[in-house]
Amino acid sequence: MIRRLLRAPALLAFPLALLAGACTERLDSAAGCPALCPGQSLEILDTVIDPAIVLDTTLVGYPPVGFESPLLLAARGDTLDVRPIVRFDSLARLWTPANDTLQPITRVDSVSLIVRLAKTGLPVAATYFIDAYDVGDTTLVDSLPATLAPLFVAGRLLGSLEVNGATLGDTATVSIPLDTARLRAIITTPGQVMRFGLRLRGATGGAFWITPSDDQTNGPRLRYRVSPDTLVAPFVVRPNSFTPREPSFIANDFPDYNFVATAPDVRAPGRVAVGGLPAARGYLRFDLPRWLLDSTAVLRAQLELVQDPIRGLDDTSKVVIRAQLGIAGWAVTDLHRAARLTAGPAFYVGDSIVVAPGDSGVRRFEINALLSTWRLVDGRQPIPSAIILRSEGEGYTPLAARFFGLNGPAALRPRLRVSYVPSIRFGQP
Amino acid sequence: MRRSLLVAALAAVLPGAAGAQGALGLQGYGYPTGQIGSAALALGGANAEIDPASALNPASIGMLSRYSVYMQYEPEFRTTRFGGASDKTTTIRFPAFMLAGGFGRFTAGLSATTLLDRSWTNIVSDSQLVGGEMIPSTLTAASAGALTDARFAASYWVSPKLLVGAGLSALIGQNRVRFGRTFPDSTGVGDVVQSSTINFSGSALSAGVVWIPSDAFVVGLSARSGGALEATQGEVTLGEGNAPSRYGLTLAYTGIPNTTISGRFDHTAWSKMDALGGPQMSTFDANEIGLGLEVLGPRIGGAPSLARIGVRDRTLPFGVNGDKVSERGFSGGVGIPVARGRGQIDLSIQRATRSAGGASEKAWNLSIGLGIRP
Repeated sequence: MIRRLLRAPALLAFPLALLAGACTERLDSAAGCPALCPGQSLEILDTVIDPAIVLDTTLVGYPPVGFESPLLLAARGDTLDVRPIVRFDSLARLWTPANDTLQPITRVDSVSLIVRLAKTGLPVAATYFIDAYDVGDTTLVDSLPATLAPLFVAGRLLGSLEVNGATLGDTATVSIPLDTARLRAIITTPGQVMRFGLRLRGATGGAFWITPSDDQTNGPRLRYRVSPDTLVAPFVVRPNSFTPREPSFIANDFPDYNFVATAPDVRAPGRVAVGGLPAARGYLRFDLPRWLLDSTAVLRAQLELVQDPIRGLDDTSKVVIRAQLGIAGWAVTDLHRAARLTAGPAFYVGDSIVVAPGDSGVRRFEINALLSTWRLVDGRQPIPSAIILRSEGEGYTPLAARFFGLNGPAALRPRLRVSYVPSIRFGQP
Repeated sequence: MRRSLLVAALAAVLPGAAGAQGALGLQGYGYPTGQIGSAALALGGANAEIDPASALNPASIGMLSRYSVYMQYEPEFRTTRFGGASDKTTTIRFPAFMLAGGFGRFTAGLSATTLLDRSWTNIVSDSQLVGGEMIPSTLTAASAGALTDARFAASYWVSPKLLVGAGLSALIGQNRVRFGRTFPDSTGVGDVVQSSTINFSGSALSAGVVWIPSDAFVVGLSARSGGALEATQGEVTLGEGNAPSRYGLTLAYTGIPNTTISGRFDHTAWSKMDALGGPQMSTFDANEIGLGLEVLGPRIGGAPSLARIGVRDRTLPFGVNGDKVSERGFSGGVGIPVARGRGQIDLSIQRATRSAGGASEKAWNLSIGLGIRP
């Protein structure tokens, strides 16, 4: 009888073992905390670093000439006048007629400059004119504004296109008819270059973006016929540039670029300006205490800037201002170059804000992700602690923002608000 | 079979999986498994001093007649209640692996048993004030690992009634700890997480006897003297103390045929580890009493099975806010022979209750031991 009773638990043992073997851990629990979880508190401290910045400056000229994308064609009265330049330094001057041999082009007609326009978001008037000027003069450094401006004269006008703003879609490819005789003279004269300056003309202000030559399909191109025979396809030439000659690779950047004839200067003393035309960047260098960078875990680091309003052109339109990590090493002493050397947003996530030029008030950039790069490595800081403020519309929008800098009134200067956890040593009960 | 043994061996030297520190049994440097085998656990630990599967008395390994392998698996299902809230957690442990073999009167063995298991995870969701703004946050604290008693022991039959033994232990192990706060990405607040490892190194010497004064009694007696024990975290020494010394006595009565009644008393000086903890760690010496009854069951595959019940009462080494944690367990189990008596599976289940500092805890402790005598 006793043995029979004992057999039951023995047989039960196997399903019990299976049950135990099949169990899984349940890890998370906290009902008894904090009473049963001593030592599991994490103190978060806040501090304001003021002054956080030891150097600030506004640097103008971004992106470098030739890197604008898209190009801007704008005329806003006496406030803004931007004229794209498109260079055709190499033209097709030879052709092979049917059943004949290669020979120089002598006959040119139906010449046009084709560009693709895109609306900028500004209201478009019913009628605009796009004027194309001959701004090529190889005897001059014709990329300089002072040299270019006098070339936009009636005597150099090659053609105009009337644009109907009412019927224009968001984008449109237009063909500007050009003076055939002038073009024929250039094409049939070896060594001559064809450089166009485009200018917007209208009763009211306006602006368009033009697809640059980077886009092989939609970029500017020159089209002309060399034969009355319509079966002979017209020649299509894409922009190219032979100058500047030295260094040679720079010429590749100049097939098209913006000539800013008139634009508001967004700079002001004691301020850091960002954006505008030509676009400005703000360079801010920090001097943060080493204990903060090397001995704490920073949870949040907010750079607080006080915006100084810029009244005027489109001052309620929005512009994105981005804070990016400066990656120029100590050897780079040219700040203009240093402000070009920024980490891509995907690498060290810099914050961005959206502001209108006419806004004012405190603006905050989260720069926590950048602070880790300013720690000492082998007792040495690899790069200066710098961030670069830049407009996302550099080169194609006149919108800008301005912030009080180190030399501004004390209450308006940049400061860094940091939340951090002092060094953790967890584990000892 | 060899592969299974290898897996089990590896599992034994690995720490257990985690439960929560918000439990009474997981304070301080962790839960003391007791270093007792599954069979002894079913008896409330009462026969641990004469049980070769329990790594307490080095003399007891001589009670294995041939080369042996023993391994143990021990999940614990725990419910902790505090202030109206409760948590259910599960901890999986592999607390023992042993190898032993003898020649004539001499037996030697190697064992790795868990002295303190510190495996838990706490995840707490709350809000934190960051830069003057309340932000949702999650605090994670976790520990995985154990302090292991790696022992070499030898025993010798001085006479058919007296077995003596000695052991040298290396107290080694790690607690891999992780602690930090995380915040939702949308808040823009960065996370802070620290991961580090606490390493233990220490030693202990143990000695014991098993005495059979008559056919009706078996006595087991052993003591361990703790040597230096150090805990380091990275390059920082957290503390230098001593391994806990202990002594214990088992008295077993075998005067009733097919029945063994045993009782045990054990004292462990855990306070010698106090210097390894911070000021908030409270450490207490612990006394343990166990009573058990084992009867012979039906023969399975030609070998007898065993049925066991027991009760165990003890205190745990690490307190809660200065309060000592007491534990009482009622247990039972069976020993089932396998492979015609060449192996044995010991199954036990213990219902333990713990209380301290206004908190209470109930746990089901399953233990499965597999012994092989090839």
